[in-house]
Amino acid sequence: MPDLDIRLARCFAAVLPGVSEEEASAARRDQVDAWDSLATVTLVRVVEEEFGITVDLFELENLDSFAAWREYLSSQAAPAE
Amino acid sequence: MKLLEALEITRKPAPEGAAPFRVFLGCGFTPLDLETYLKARLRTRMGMRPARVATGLFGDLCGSLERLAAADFDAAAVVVEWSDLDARLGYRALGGWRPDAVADVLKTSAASLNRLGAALKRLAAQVPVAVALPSLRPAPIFWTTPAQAGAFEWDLEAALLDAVRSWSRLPRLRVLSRAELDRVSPGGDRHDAKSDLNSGFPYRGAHASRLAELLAGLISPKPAKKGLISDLDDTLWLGILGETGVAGVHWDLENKAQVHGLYQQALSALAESGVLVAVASKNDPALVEQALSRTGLAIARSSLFPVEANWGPKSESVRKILASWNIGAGDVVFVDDSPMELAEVERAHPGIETILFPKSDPAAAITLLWTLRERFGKEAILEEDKLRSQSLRTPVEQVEVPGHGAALDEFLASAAGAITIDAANPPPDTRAFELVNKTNQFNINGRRFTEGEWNAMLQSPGAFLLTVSYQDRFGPLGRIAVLAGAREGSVCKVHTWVMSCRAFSRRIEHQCLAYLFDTLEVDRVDCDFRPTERNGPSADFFAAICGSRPEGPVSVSRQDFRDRCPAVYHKLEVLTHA
Repeated sequence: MPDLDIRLARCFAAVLPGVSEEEASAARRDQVDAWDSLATVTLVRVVEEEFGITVDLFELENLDSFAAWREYLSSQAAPAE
Repeated sequence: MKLLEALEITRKPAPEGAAPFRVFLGCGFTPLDLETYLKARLRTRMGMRPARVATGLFGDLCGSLERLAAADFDAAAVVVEWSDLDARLGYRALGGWRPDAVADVLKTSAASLNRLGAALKRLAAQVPVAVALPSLRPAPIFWTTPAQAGAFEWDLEAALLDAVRSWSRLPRLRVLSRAELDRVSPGGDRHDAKSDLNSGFPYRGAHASRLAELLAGLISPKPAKKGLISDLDDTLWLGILGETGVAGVHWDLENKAQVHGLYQQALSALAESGVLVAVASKNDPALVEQALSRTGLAIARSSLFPVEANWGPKSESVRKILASWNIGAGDVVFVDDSPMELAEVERAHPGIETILFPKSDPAAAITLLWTLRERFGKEAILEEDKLRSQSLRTPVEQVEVPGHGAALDEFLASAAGAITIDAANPPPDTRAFELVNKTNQFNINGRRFTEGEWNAMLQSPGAFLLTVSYQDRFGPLGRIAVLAGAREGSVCKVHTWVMSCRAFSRRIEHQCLAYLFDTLEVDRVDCDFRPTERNGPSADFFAAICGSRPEGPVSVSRQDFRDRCPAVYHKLEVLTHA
């Protein structure tokens, strides 16, 4: 699994109760009960801190799955380790 | 601590059977990361015990506190921001920053502080409360340049400080030091404008993490260390006594040795507040006595006990000192300028905290002084703390008490021992709580309490608390024992019973049991004894009274006690309270 995926999975597992790091890559907002608005805000803060980026809040609507987050992060220039 | 790490800590499993520590986090903003960090910091401090954090309503700090049922919590952390005093002092309201509004902002803020003070007072009457004052700058409502704090700004600050001055005097209310917060979280790097405006959480992650760490420390303080053992050469003073002679060691500015004088001053203050301070030095004992008698030393010779000066290993001196104090290595800090000596002592006494004295680094030396305050800090200096210090000069605790038999009876009969049992519940100060939480040897089960649990226990139906003081012709020992439990018909159930090791071999524990039978008029005393690694002395006591060494809870009948209780010689005074 690429490093980005591992790090992102750790963020998802920490923010979403009941979602393990192994399950994280399949997570979608409409299928995870714990993924509410508060979880979204927390996920943004965790990802910003972990990857050293600032998430554009206008993108939030589209960041509704692990895959979408991975694509968003990949599009950011050189995420910090 | 990063947010990811904090979240992972909050998800870790709890030790089996651990009851959650229930905290109310009061703040007028969305608690978000602060709640997560507080939970994580509390769990880390409390051996992964679960922390349950409840929060109030957004934008209504005062109301949330006023509605709170304190009995539902073990502690509260209250984080005040300027916008809690008047929303116009924050960035989420558009009430107007016109110059003519400023007087009204001040008036509203004063009223909010009054309301907040009343709510905090009610809360702190029942549980420990940590309060953080505004840590962000007020919004730019004032008309002076940012560099100038004008009269209105000072009026606002003065109103806050006036209020806090009275809050800080309330028992159980602990105000977070702004200076300490400034030290760990630089002021210009705290506000997260994006988060404030979008989600109502105003802090950057790093600030929230540090704020939570300090708040957790205030509501769940670590027990203070009891003793400090210090080296002499290049530590208590600058210079090697054996090389330079008595007049050649220094601790002043003139001789570039001020950090040693400051260290002496810190030790003196610790000794006066009840900390045991001793010396372990590889030196000629006669020379040491001469040097410690020099005028101008910032710590009195009598504050140092014992002074172990010899040429043997430091660990052996430390062993003698610990035996003399009768406390464990885990309660002690050892300070020396030699890493080798620190390592040798650490190896021989696992659990002891060793600190290097940084003789050539003034900044590190001043950090050391703050570290000592951290390790030995206490909320109040009680009468017992002063007695402990005095007893080093008039060594009541070093009276040679014969171990047993006729010699012990003869000693006790002539000691003129007097015991005072005070049944005040609630107690007047924190001594009983402190004694319960720091006593290991005569402690029937080693149970520790949070302040919230302790207060809740004292308020439960039928609960009693006995605080026992002792003095004899050698001097007073102060309040040295605590019993707590409840009377249930003809049975007295004791769940907490501790006695300071300073009071061993005086048969005070026998007198306590006699009190329960005679004054509470019960036929049986059930003690929730549980063996621990260190409570051998209480097991010995029950073995003598019951005829066999206990492995668990103990029942003592009136008859058994009468048959096996040795003679007691104390004068007994009982203080009852309406």
